[in-house]
Amino acid sequence: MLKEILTLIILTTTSLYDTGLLDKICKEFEKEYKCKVKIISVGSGMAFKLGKNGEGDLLFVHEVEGEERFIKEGYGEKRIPVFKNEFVLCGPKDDKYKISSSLDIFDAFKKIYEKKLTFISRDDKSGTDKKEKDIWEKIKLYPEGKKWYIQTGTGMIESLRIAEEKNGYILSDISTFLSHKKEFKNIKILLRDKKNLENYYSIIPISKKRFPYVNNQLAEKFIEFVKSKKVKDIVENFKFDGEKIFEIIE
Amino acid sequence: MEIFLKNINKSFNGKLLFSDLNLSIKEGKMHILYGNNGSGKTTLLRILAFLTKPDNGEIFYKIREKIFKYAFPYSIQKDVLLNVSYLHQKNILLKGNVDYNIKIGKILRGEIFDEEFYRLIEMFGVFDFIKKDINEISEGQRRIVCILRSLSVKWELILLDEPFSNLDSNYMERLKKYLNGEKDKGKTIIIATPEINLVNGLNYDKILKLENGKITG
Amino acid sequence: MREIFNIFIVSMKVIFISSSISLIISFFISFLILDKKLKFLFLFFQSFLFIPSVLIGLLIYIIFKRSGILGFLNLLYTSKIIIIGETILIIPLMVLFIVNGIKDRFYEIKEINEVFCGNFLKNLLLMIKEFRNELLSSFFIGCGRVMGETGLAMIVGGNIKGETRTFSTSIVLYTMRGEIEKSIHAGILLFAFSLIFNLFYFFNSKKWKYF
Repeated sequence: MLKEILTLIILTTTSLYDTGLLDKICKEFEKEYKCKVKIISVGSGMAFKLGKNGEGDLLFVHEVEGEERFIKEGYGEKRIPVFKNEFVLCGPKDDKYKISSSLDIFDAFKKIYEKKLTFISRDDKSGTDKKEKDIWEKIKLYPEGKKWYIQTGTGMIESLRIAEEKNGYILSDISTFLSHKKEFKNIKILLRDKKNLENYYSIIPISKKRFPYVNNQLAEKFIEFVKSKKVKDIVENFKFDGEKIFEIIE
Repeated sequence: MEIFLKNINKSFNGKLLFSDLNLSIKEGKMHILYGNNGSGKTTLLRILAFLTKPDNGEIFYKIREKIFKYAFPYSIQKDVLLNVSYLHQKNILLKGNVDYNIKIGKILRGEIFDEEFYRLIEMFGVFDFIKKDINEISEGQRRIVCILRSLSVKWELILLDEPFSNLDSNYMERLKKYLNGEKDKGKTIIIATPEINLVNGLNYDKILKLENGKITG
Repeated sequence: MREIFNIFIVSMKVIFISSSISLIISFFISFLILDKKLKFLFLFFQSFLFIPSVLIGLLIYIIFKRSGILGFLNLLYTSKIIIIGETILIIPLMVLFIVNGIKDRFYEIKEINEVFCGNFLKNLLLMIKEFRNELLSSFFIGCGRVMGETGLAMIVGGNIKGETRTFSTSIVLYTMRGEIEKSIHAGILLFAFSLIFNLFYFFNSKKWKYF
């Protein structure tokens, strides 16, 4: 029983976890609150599923629609956005087709569709995948099944590697790309669209009403901690390639 | 075919089988190689058939006025081997039926199936079970299959290692009759046997007793 | 369902081609080991028997990626590279299996061939005929091993829809996504196929002949 009180189980997505930020934060949390944090890092879809089964104490994800549905269906009580970063469009360095000079991300996607350029999609129902699919939906273009539209079933970094190999375009979160920048000789960030490509990371404590055994106490403490100055400092100093990746949301 | 063994030495598993063995086999003669189990009969035949290499020494084969020398490094002399036939002491049979197993000898040697072949088969009366699978026949029948396989290829010299094991008197008769007939045609025959009574009825010329690595007789 | 069909095609392609190529290579290696009595070569393959498939996947990734030695071939993330990887993976298994299966009769058959002046090719054909069962059994064993292999296929294949997504990598994806039902469907199909292969192997092997 005591062990349970002292353990916090976080369900998160690979894109957040792989940056390494979460590990850093949790280490400090463990020290300060003298507890143990277990992080389960999976695709967004799986994270929600695990949450719906009460397999964790809180969700730390970045998929607004899914989060709202989660709360609506009564699995979580509230949604607290804590950080944000951006998605970026990466592609071949030579940028033959002048994608980087597109007006916005929608324009870029349109060009890619029209010119039938190799595009790498995650296809794993992750937050990034959802964002990409939302963009296609908005411009009413459906690339699924097209020869140039490659659907990997892998995580962000593997998909980036595939883009690197195949000289393709891909939507990625900026943190994953920058943290592995040295690897990529063929592709680089071609387009940034802060307005349309914002990516919010929120914490949703799992409903105690639904699952009475969840560690709600520790979850609330975690949210407090994430909003504290200590974590603010960690985030401000979390840089890749000289650039700050995450921004705190007040 | 004439064979001349000169100073053949062979040890096997630390045991000396022959030392400075000198032997002459004349053409058209039938020799019986007689000795106890483990005396080296099989090894001698295997050396003559190029299956085992001697430690040192030379063997000369004379075929139709041509002489072939078999010496270090003892690589197989195909020209000689094509005139030699050999029968293992053990029955080595392939998966399939009797027909296939008898024919495989000539198939491997690329020989055609002529009258002579079918006469041989008929002589030993194996037609009754020619289509049977090799697993369905008796040990004696398996032996005769191996014997026929060895007899069927064209040979000037035949080396038979204990051919009579497991044969009934009927087959034994026919085999002895056949071998005598081949000897009359001028072919050279060497038969290894552990039991001297088994060769009664054969027109052999010489008995070579193999004892302590030396040939007597 | 188009998706399942594609997965089926990719899986079968990978399984059959890699097992076939491996069978040929493994047979030659086994032949060499027995013919020239190369015990150390046998020990070499034996030591790689349990090599984790992901290690081979990693090695292949390093060699075939763009900046790698063979990067110019552009084979990474295609079904071809998975086939190459799986073929390499199962060679030790097949060599072990073939050598152990044929070593008892190998030298006898070889001697029959020698005595009757068969050449190298005739010897080979004779052995293939004689050891047909053992070779076929090892083929099925290879198939079985490749069928469930996941790590290598993921690393070098990238789990690309319609191209490098196999039964096993699909299960990984569906599970990660949270689509447990789909995962179970794929799992049942995979199980059914592995059962079929197991039966093929069993009916072909010596043990069955005793019944």
